[in-house]
Amino acid sequence: MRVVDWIVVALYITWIVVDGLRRSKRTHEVEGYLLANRSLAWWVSGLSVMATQMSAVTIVSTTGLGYLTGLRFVQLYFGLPLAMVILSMTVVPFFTRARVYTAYEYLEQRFDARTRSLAALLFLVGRTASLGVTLAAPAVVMSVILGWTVPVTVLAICVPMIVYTTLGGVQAVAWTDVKQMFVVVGGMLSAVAILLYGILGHVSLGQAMHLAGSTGRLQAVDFTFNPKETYTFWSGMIGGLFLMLSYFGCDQSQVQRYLTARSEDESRSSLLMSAFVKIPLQLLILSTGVLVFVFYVFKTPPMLFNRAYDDRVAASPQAADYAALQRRFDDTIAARRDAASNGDRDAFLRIDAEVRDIRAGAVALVKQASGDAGYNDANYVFPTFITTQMPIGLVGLMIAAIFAAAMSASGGELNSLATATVIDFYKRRFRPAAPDSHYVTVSRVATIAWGLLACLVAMQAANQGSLIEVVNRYGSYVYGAILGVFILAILTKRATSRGAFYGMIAAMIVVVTVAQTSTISYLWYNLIGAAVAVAVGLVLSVRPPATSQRPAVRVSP
Amino acid sequence: MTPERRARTMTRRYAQVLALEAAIIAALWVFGHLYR
Repeated sequence: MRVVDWIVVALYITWIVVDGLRRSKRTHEVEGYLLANRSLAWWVSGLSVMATQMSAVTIVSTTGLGYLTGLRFVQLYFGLPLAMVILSMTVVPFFTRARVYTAYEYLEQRFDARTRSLAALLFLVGRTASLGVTLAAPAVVMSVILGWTVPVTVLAICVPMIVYTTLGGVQAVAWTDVKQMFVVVGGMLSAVAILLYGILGHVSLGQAMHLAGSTGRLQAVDFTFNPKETYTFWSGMIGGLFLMLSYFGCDQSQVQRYLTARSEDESRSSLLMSAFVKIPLQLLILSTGVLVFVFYVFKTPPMLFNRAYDDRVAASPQAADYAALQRRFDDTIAARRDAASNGDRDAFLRIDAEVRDIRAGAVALVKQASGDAGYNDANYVFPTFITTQMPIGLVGLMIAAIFAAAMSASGGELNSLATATVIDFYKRRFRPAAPDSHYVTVSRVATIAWGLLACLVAMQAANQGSLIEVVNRYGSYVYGAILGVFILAILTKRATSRGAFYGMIAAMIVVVTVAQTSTISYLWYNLIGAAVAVAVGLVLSVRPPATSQRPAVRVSP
Repeated sequence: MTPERRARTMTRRYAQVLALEAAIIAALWVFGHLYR
């Protein structure tokens, strides 16, 4: 990183904070602060939906996945377009006509306060931990790339994000998301242009695709039905469908984005924007990773992309083995380049397999020497490419894009945490009738408090790789249960509050049991959880006790 | 815009979303077979 790149990053972060605040209007009113007075255009809400979902991990890890395994990860998103259509037809009319601030508020209108509180509590716990991971994962990688400490990197992401989210509320978040989406897409397209320029100096585009295809990296669709495999057509279409229904339909961090749209139709359109764009965008990011692979066929790559452990390995008992691997790696890379240039497919594949073995050996040595059992070199592929191969100025833009993605995803999550805290707990249970200014002040305090807590979680998670895994698992344990309750609320009339509440608890117990006792992919947990919640909910609703009966649906689509 | 026209517009968009997805999946499948 040179001075010009740092100036680009600093100017960009300053601009998004200042412009986000300038565009925030009537933030002294609670509806203005939390829902932008339901006044945003569909494309603003739509880009905010996409930016909240796309974290920095998407740029850093997904390109790494593209580099390692190719396009097959895109299958995870095959259920998304159908999920968006279903949500546009079902939950959007319910939420917009009920004039709710949070998704969970609707559960009290339909069932009772305890069902609402349980769903909101599960959201708060899960989203806080998830926000910590959203910040920690890119911070770990960027701290290595930039040579900063993890706490400094976390603060570099958090401080501007907390400032604009606290002062400008949802409007600042949405307008910042708009800019960040353009920067991220622009950054990725720039990277693709640089990669193509580098590759086309050696081979034609067709030859480059044959090289990538020969290693299986262009095999994006796998029709094998295997619930244990995460990336297959069926896991994506069915498991992914329920995952996306849960995330976009029941998670306040997403629901709040499309509640800011100025009408029911514009809310629908904002969701449909993701339906149109998400898969092509993921393909762009994964293809960038594939192009990085082809680029490094002709340009010598480092044996491992994370150089942070070099010194530690050199000073460890594994130093001699590591040096021997490095020598073997250099020879093998030269042989692979020759095979690729000569169009010798069989030799290329044989040598490429050898390169993979050498890298696996190097990763194992680093794990032994550093004690970092969760070390994943793939996360460092793209950031290393950016900082070593891209031209001055564009490096700054790309680093800004990674920071942008981290801030946009976490800003939306932080904003929704504050909203659920104030609307579902503070206003509901402590101060039901206070002036707007009071709720706005409490929302700002809640934003700062959740932001600081998320920073602490991020710093802790960064030092403890297993915590990231626990957090990721938590989401898959509870999302299906919450989705099941919303299905009961919206699609059935006979479900009672008792059925909904205990159906949700039963679903979580079953999903945790399945997760602990089987090897089924986590993508299927949401389907299992939702099915159990609906089934148990309906059974328990057959003869509800007289005391727990609630009025039928108050809001109709 | 009348409610009927709005409903028709949304239905058309839903169909476009699903058609685009089917086209992308088909294209990816063909592409994967061409370059393997």
